[in-house]
Amino acid sequence: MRRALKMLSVRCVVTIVFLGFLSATPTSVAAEAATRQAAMIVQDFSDQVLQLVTVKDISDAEKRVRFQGLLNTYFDVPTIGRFVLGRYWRRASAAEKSRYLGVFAKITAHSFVSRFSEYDGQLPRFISASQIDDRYIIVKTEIFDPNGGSPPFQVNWRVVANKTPMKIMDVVIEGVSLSITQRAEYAGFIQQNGGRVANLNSALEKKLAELK
Amino acid sequence: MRFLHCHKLHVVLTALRRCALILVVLGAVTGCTSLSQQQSNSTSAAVYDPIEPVNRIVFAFNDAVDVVVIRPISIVYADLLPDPVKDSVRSFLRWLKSPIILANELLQGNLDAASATTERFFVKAASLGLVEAADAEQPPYRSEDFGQTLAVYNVGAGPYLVLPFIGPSNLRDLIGTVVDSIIDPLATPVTVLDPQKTAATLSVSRQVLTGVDFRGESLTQIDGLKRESLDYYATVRTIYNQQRVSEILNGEQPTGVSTQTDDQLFQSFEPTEDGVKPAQSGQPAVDN
Repeated sequence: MRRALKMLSVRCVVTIVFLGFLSATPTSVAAEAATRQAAMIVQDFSDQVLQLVTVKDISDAEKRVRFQGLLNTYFDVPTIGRFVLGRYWRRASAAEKSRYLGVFAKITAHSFVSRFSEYDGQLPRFISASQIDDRYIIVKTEIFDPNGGSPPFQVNWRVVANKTPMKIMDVVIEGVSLSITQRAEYAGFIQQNGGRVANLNSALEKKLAELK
Repeated sequence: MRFLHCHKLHVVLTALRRCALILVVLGAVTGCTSLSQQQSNSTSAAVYDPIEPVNRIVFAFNDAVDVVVIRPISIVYADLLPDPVKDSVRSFLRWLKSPIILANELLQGNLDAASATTERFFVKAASLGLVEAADAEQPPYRSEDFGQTLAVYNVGAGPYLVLPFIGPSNLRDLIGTVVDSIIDPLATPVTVLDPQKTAATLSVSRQVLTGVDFRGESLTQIDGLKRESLDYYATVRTIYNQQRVSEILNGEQPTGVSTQTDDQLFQSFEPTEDGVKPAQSGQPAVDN
C-alpha cells in the first residue's frame, strides 16, 4: 500500500511538473504541437521507466523483457543501431546487418537495466523542448534528487520529429551522448579487430552471454 | 577517467616548469591552433588520435595502476568513511580549487561565475571549506581550468593524449594542467621557496585524494563501463572528449561551428530503407 501510494505520488509529481512545463512553452501552433508531442513521448517513457525501476517484486530477467518492450515502443532501435555502426553499416552484408541489429537491441536493453540498481529516488524535471532543425527536437530534462542527496544533472533527449510516430534517437547525459559513445566504442573495436562487422557481432554476442 | 586527469604528475610538472615554460606554452598553443584546422573535419565521435598505439599502452598501464592501487584504496575509502565525512572532504577539495577556478572564470570573461565563485569561497571559508555552500540562488558549482579557457579562445584540442597516472588529456588540456599548477597559489610559489618539498607533498596528496574520492564515488559507474565496453580505451576517449566539450560550453547547447560536430553527425545521418530486419535467432527478441 505504501509503495502504491509512493508510486502514485511519483506519477503525480512527474505529470504536474510536465503540465506546468507544457503550458509555459510559447511557440507557433504547429511547432508547439510537435514539441509538445516530443515532450510527451519523453514524459511517457520516463514515467514508465520510473515504474519499472521502483517495482520490487519482479526478477531482473522480467525487468529486461519489459524494458525491451519500452525501448521498442519509444526508441527507434534499428535506426539507432545503424547510426551506431557508422560507416561500417554499408560494408556489412545483409545477414551481418540483421544479426547485428538483433544483438544490438538486446545489449542496449541489458546495459540500461543493469543501471537500475543505481536508482536512488531521483525524479525528472522538464526544462524545455525545441526543434533544432527539420528532423530533430531536443527535449531537455533535469534529473534531481528530491532528498537533496546528489546534485541534479542534465539529460537531453533527441527525438526524431519527421517520422510518425515520433521516436527517441539519443539520450545525452551531462553532455555525453549514448549513441555517440556506443558508435566510438564499436568503431574502436572493429578497427582493432580486423575491420569486420562479423567480429563485432561475435564479440557482442559473447559480451551479452557474459553479462547475463 | 576524470580522476586520472586530476592526478597531475608533479614530477613532470616541476620539470616542465624548470624549462623555458613560456616558450613551451606559446609554441604548443601555436601547434594547437594549426591542429584545430586539421580537426575541423573530424568529429568528437572520431577523436584526433595520431599516437593511438602509444596511448593504448599508457592506458593499459594506468588501468593496471587503477586495478592494483587506486580502486582498492577507493573502495576502502568509500566504505570506511560515513557520507557526511566524504561530503566534507569533497567540499574542502573544491574549496582549495577556488583560486584556479576564479582565475579561469576571469580569463574567460565570465564575471557572473567569478562573482559566484568568490562569494562561495568566502561563505565556505567560515567552515574552512568543510561545509558546501547551499544557496539555491547561486549557479551550480562548475570546475574551470586553463584548458577550458584556451578552448574559449578557440584553441583546438590537438592530439589526444593518455598521460601516465594522469589519464586522458590532449595537447591543449595538458598545457592547461601545467598553467593551472603554476597559477595555483597553494602549490607553486610555496614549492619554489620550500626546500623540504612539504608543499609539493601536500599538493600531490590533494590530487591523489581528489582521485580517490572521485573513483570511490563513481565506483559502480566506472566498473560497469569497463565491464560492458568492447573497447574500453575508445569508450573512455570519446567520453573524455564529450565531457570536455560540455564543460567548455558550461553545459549549454553548442553554438559555435567547431563544437557542432555531434549534431552534424546526426544531421548527415541518412538511414536507407534497405529492408533489413533484426535477427530474432528463432527466439523472441526479449528472451534475455
